[in-house]
Amino acid sequence: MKARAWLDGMAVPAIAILLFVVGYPTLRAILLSGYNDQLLDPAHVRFVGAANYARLWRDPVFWSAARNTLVFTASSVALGFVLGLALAVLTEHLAPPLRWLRGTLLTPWAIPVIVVAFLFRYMLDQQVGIVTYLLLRVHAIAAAVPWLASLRWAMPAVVLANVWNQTPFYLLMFAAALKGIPEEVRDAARIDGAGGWQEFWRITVPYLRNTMAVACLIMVITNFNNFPLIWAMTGGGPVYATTTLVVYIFQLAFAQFNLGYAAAVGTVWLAVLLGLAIVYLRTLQRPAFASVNEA
Amino acid sequence: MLITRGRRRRPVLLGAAVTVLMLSIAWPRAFGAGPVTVTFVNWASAEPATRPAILDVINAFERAHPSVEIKSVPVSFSDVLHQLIVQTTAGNPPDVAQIAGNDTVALQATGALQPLDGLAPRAFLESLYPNEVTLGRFGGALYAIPWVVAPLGFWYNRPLLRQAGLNPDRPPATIAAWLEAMRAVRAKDPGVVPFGLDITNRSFGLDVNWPFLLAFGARPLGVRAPDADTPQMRAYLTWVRTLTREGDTLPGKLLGEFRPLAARNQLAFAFDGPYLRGVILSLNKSMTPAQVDATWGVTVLPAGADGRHYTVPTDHQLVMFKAARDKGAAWVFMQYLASDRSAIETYTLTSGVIPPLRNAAAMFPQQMGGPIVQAFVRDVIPTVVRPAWGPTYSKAYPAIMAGAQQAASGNDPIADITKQMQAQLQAAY
Repeated sequence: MKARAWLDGMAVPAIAILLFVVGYPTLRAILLSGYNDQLLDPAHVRFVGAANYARLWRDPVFWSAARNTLVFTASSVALGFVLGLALAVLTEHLAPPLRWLRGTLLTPWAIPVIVVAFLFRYMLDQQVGIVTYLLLRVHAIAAAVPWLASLRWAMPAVVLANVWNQTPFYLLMFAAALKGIPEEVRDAARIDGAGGWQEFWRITVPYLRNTMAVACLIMVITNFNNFPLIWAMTGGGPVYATTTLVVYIFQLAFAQFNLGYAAAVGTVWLAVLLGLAIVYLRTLQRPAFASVNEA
Repeated sequence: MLITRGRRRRPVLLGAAVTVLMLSIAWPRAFGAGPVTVTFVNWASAEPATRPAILDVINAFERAHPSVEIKSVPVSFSDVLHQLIVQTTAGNPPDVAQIAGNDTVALQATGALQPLDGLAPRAFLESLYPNEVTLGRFGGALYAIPWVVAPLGFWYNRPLLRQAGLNPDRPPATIAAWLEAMRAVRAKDPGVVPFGLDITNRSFGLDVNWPFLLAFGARPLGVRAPDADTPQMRAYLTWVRTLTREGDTLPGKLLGEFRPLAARNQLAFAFDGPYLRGVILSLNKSMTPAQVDATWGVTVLPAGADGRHYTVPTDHQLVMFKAARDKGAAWVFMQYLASDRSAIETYTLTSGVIPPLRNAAAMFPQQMGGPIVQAFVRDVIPTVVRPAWGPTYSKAYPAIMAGAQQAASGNDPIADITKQMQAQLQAAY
């Protein structure tokens, strides 16, 4: 029997390109994290070993940004996931005259993130925003609230805009996966006396599990990297209330031009992201997941 | 046979076509027949209000200097330093750039700028305001020349002051009197925003707040170490907290976001450059220049404990990069922008800013004779101080502005905020 080649020759060009466009910058960033490299002080570039990592350990802004990244990602993914799933299930059996509704629900996904950011900035404006106006009209608030300049409300406001933009992605993924559930399985469950809720938990959810895992993985990575929405809505403020790791890296690298320290934060951020990716990929490879596909 | 001959001819024809194409591209450069291109990064052509005027100036320059072609690269004001440093690091800097404030000092620190002493004629430098030339000197060498002079002045809306029962021709002269005036304005009409204070976390945000820091006696950036945990800093932060708590300003707004309010007469006091006049005229088409002059007055910023008035320059400067391909052509363009009569009439004066020429008032008596420009030249310019610009300023502003935002939006004791600020500033030194 012929031994299986460990590397397919056809993959070599792709691997070479990836090594150049992904591998080299990653390696360069890791090396840079060992240097005091500040563009505004080019005369004092020197190797400092792990000093940037030691500084990071003591840096309260880094820990605040790490916490904000988790809050932003977790709440965006959880809310988008639940809303997307609910909308997919609710619109699965729409009558033909109402099928346009599903297309309409996908519209926010087609809007560029930067437009979403400015849309919500204007809607949440303290003086002329529609949100403040409506809440004042129904007496839900006593005075205009500076949503995006408030330590309490800035993060929820950014998450709200993000969820509005990303929910259609989950809807699209789950709607496609729902089509893959065999009708015979549903019929069998109904014959066995399963109600709607039982059908959802025992048929729909197991069949969607792979899609759910993939959708969550994609959106966790997307939201870990979500820079334009936060930057355009709040610039990471007020104080550091909406500064996530990617915003902090941008501020360090392109506002303070401290490339060495920015690379150290970026390396930690990359390690966390890789860890998450490995966890999710391992989850996907579990026998329980594979069996659903085989079913 | 015909087909074979055709196939043989194709490579020859293709080769000839490529040769002709390459020659047509290379000829003008190789033999100096084409115009020299000067790349000019600027935000004047990125902003709708100033874009037509700067493009007119560039066209006029190209007509007067047919051997020089200007390639204008629009970049927004907030992105210009980032863009220039990225371009410089990538080995592709422009020839000339418009720049302002700490960005000039920061860019000079990278070593990318061309010293201008050997290029700038003495007569030209002597024709400029001496303190404006000083703003472009670092370590004894000239790296930037002034293009427009634009310190921040204290603007007050006369009808709103009158409406609040205040003397419209006697704006508040002290911080304490100003707080009282803002209370009176707010009490009369809650729809009016008393003052537009920019506390956004950016280098320019600290520039805007620098005169207020000085008014309270705060000097957070010492020469060798930070000095933020002081009673003076606490007084400044308490003032910021008072303004936001009492509704005297809108937190989170950029300076420019208060200008539409000024144009609609919904802002009582502004701390803005002389260009605000032009912005109001462009935003409120129903107002005539005479009406703007009658509505708005300009004076010095109210004084703090030491009784002195302070302001900062937001002047736009011009710099040349060491890598500029034709330094002579680049310099001719820079000098043209700063001092040519038609360029000043077309761009500088229509933008509502002040030319850097000492004899500008005599050269343009009509445009420079208005009360707002006069107030800037007579009262505001003498109070200009240069903030502690430099690499430390670039690293320190996030901590100071985060502290200001914490005071504005949070409930932490002010003393805790200054302690945190001091600890964060240590890392900048």
